[in-house]
Amino acid sequence: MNTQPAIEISGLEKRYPKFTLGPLNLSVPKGSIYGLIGPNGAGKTTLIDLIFGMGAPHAGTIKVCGFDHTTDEVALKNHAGYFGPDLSYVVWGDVGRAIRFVKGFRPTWDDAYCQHLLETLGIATSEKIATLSFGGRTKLGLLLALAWKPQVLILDEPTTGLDAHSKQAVFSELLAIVRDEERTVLISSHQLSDLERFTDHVGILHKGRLLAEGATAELVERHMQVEFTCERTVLENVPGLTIAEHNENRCRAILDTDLCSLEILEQHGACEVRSQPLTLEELFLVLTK
Amino acid sequence: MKHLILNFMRRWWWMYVLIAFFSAGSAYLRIPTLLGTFALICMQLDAQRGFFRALRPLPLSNKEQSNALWIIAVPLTPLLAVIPFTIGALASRAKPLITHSYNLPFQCALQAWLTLGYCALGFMLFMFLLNRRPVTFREILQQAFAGALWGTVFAGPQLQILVSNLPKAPSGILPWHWVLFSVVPIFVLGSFLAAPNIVHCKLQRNTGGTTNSQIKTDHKNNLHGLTGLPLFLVTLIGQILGIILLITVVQHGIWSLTTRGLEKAPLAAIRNTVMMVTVSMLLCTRCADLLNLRSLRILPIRTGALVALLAIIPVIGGISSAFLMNRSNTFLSLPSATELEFGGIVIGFGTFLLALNFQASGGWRIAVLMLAATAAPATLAAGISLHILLAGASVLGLLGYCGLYYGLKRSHSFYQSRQMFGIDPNNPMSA
Amino acid sequence: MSPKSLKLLLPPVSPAASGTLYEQLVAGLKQAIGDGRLTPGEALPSFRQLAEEMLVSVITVKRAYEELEREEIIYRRQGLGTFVAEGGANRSREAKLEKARKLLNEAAREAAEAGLKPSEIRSLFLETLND
Repeated sequence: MNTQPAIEISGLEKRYPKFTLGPLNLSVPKGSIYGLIGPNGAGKTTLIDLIFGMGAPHAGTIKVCGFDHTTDEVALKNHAGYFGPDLSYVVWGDVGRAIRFVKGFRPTWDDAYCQHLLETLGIATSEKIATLSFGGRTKLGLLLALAWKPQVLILDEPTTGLDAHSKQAVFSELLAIVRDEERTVLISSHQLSDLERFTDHVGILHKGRLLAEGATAELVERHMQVEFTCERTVLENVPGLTIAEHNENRCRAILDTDLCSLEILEQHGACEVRSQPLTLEELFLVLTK
Repeated sequence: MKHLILNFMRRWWWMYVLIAFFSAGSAYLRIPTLLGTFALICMQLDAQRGFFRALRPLPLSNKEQSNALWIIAVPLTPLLAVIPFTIGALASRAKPLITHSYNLPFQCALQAWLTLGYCALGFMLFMFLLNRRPVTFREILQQAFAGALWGTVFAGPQLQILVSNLPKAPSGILPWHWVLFSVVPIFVLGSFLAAPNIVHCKLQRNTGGTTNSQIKTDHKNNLHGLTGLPLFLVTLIGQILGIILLITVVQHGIWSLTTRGLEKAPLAAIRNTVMMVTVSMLLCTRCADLLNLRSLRILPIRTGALVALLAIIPVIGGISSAFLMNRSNTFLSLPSATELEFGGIVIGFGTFLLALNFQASGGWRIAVLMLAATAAPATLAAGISLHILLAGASVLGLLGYCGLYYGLKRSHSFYQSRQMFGIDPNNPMSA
Repeated sequence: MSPKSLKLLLPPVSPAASGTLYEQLVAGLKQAIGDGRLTPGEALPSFRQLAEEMLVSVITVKRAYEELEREEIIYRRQGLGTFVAEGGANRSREAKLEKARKLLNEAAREAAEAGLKPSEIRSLFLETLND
């Protein structure tokens, strides 16, 4: 089996007057669902836009399925499907025309699968796009990205505005996609509980930089929530400890067990230490504070 | 109510500065004109941004809201425009650039009175403009007519004809002028009565009524027919030609009405340069806004090919303009050299505007387009020869083409969501 | 023989149930193997198939399988798939028993800490059983 990563980003940098993305290194293994999480304005959309040549980076390279995003732009787009909230197909009038438009560019378009998606997502080809709800447009965009079975799917905020049924349908399609081990999904989202359940890997993007990355479960289990009593100043610079809140000498923090342990914490003078596991959401909230 | 009016003026202050500048300038140069309808354009932009909906939860009565809007759109604009006009006219009298008889108080009063009527008419039309894409047949029809009339009220040769035929002094008032003057109060009254209705109309959701796709089980398969690039080309070209045809028909009708047979109405009233540039502008903003660059960019098409696809808009615009200008009034004969030159100007200018339109987002886009709109009649008035205009347009066109190429590759603003004038009705807050 | 779908055989994996998703999956599989709904030698679905059925990430299933493999309840044959081990049912029951013992120990300790005498704890346990 080819072990080349599906998406490989190295040394990527994009500078704006008020915001800098990177330098960023990211590798998405083939056959996995990778979740990109980060607060608003962390650079998720910028990163995804750069992959598709919407804007040019100042430095670094992006490779999808081994294709460079500038020199092999057509080959890259032949292998990677995109969905984003700003994608609009309103100009095509009804759903059927939008489908026909995209279908013409995609030789691998699967009509039967498209029909299946239309039914599971609950949209009809005769519907006018202008009268679709926000969620309906999202579904259409997702359908157009999924139905030609690209090797790599890059989805920017795909679940915003979807009801619970559709969200479940989408994730079940995504899991079906990675079933054959050759296809890959990169997904950026705010719905952390969903990502925790469905993704194999996550990367936390904050202020243009990748704060933490790894297999979702490992990342979550590697960290724990600790509470202790201590002089805060003493513990300020313990590697692997991120203070979340403190009140006088009572502290609540997140501990990275790879870098630090409860024993080390106690050696630093923490007492009354209590610890408990945390969710991805709690980890995210503290790390991106 | 006072807050609403002041808030509007604060947000669009630069528009008022422009109006003042143009009013004073036109009075100084004694160019007959009617200005001051920009407030309505701003209001339409507000409507597209969802401003009227945001207004709704405020503790203001329906009456107060509609009154405030009416004051902004109808009496306030001529009131504000007439002051700089008077200053300009006074300056013109003190240090004249052009000498011909000029009855200052009469001109100021005329300007104020007619602008009032003009704004009132625009305000009434404003009611029929939808703040989203029309869906049903009735809506499409309504939008087409209101849009065409709206466009005609703000920019069109008949306005130029009207203002150049206005009396210079009380002694020059003709019977039809009296008719014109006397409809003004009717329009003003009508617009005042219509104001509450306008607030109501503008409250529609920007996204339009949504359908519940869960219930619908319509599996009518309409997936047959053209796909991909051919479908794209047919749709785009069809849309461009549709817009041109609509403009032509409306212009032709209004031209015939306003000149009352004094001048033979040409098949295409867009035969003058001003109108042609307006057409190219309209095409390049309207069509470009309809095409979502994001959805094109993710397709496996080379950047160069994508630029060529986009350039189709001004090229078709130019070619069809050249044919429509044909004075022989038939589409079948080939255009003459002059008409081809006109076509070339439209292509060059259009390509440039297209690139500009993609790059410019937000408020300054309107300013750029307005500048372009005023630059066209200015060059024409200056009597610059067609050859020089064509050369200029070629340079601009080339710049535009390169701009499109580099913009697609490098510019982030090309991919920001937008609709008419940089406003995305799906997401009004993005404006 | 293609592996049968486990979708309705296993309890649903839910964030509302106790334990992490992978722990729930392990518990569910042990239960199914322990009470014989999955028989020794029977093929289990692949990671990716089970992930799709249970609507969890592939990595979650992989960890659950790895844990069960460590406990010798299931085994993997390269290229053939994953199967329920001979004696997997017993080991699964043993594992369950071990866990029950641990929990009972903990319960006894809590009760002792609350000041209950051994006889009182015994009657508490009996009471629980009767419920």
